[in-house]
Amino acid sequence: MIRTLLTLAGFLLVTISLLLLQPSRSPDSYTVDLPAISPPALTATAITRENVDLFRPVPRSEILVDPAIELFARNPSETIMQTRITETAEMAPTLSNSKIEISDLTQNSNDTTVTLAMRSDEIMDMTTLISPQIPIDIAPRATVRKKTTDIEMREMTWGVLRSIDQATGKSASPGTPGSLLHTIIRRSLSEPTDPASSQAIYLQTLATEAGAPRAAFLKSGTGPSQTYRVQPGDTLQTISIKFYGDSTFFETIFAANSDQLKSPNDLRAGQTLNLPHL
Amino acid sequence: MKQRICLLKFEPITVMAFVCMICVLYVSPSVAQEVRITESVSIFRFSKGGNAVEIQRNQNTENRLTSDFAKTSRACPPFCIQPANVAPNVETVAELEVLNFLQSEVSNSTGLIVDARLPEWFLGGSIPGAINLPFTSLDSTNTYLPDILTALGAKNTDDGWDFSNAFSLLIYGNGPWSDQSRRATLSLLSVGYPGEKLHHYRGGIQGWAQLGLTIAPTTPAN
Repeated sequence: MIRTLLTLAGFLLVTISLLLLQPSRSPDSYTVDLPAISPPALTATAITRENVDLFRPVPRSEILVDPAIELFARNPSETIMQTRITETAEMAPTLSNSKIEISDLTQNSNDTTVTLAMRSDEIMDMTTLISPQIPIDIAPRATVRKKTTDIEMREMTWGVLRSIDQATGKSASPGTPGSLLHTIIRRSLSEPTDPASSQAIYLQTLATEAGAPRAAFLKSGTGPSQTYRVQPGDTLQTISIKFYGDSTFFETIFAANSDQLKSPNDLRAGQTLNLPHL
Repeated sequence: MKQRICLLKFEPITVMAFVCMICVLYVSPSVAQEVRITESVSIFRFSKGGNAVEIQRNQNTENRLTSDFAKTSRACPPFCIQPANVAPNVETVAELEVLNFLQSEVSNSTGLIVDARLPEWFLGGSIPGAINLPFTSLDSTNTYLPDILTALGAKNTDDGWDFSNAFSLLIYGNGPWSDQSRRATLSLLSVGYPGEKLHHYRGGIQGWAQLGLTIAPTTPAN
């Protein structure tokens, strides 16, 4: 009888002490241990890409790779955004073309403000204060921004049509208004014929944003195909934005890497992706 | 007495089993759906294009929004509080009406849930079954607007647009602090889309997330 009571008491004691002494979870811990890339978890906890990104500190190395695009990918917000980057000294040597322009300008002017035109309808300006003491200004040409917006609009329309077709399971007959073919034809017809075609301006804009390597990469068929090592926090969309300037090419990346990606969500840090020419 | 001792020897195991059973009985109700959508509905199911889609609420009763949607004080302008009604003939709806719309219109292919945000945001997560129709693409400056309207089921006739066979649309944006869904709705009204075919979910993705309802990760077209 005594043995029974002792066993029971011991059991209860251990149970209660376990209950009381279990490590308490802070309310924030749910998001803190979120895996950076784990779409199934995204479904389960209804977490969106924004908050995953928000809670993942951006390693400086990533910023240094491509500041403008990284920031763009991380802040697809619908308003003007301002980002202050203070590590001028470390950044300057790693900056490619566009940043060389920036540093050139830095030497020329002491009190100007850098404004980079971003490729989005709503994200118009990104004011990058490279140094608190020496703000710089590269004024975007209004024409470039206008053209880019037009292209954006077409891309967006195309995405909309594809989305509607997919959702409804029916599409307009090929060539008729509302069909993808019709849109593509109209798109090609409306391309400016002068040498400074919108595509060229588009590439030029991208070159200004991201530096020469990416612009060269965008011109189809030139140079060796490129590979990219997946960083924590990357999605196919952000990689697509980084290398092609547009998130819609994530399907292209996915298709080119179908041997190692079972689904677009199957992205893991450390994978090496092939990035095909467009 | 000897027999009694014998019985007692088994008692610890019996007691432990009993306690364990109580624990299991105590825990099991919490495993069942504790956070329901309404009293009678725990999981909302509908089919879209042959695919079954499930919507339910986050079952963690301690869950809190820690994302962008937890923000209270976005700068206004541009993020200003929006009126409840966009236009007199456009119905403003809430979550249950959204579910009803999914059931009655979307699964019958007579309606579409429209996410009026920009594509980047849409890719970050949306109401299950929604399509992305960014408010900018509905602007009158978009030369491809006729293509979009045609895809939405409108017909371009000599007398203008005929919307009699067009989809019913339920439009949402980021939330009450964002004018994107309102702008999309107004743009559609301005090209003649009948207000009776438009519904406005003012709560937007924030209202949806606030209730812990399922947010779909956007899957690419195959």
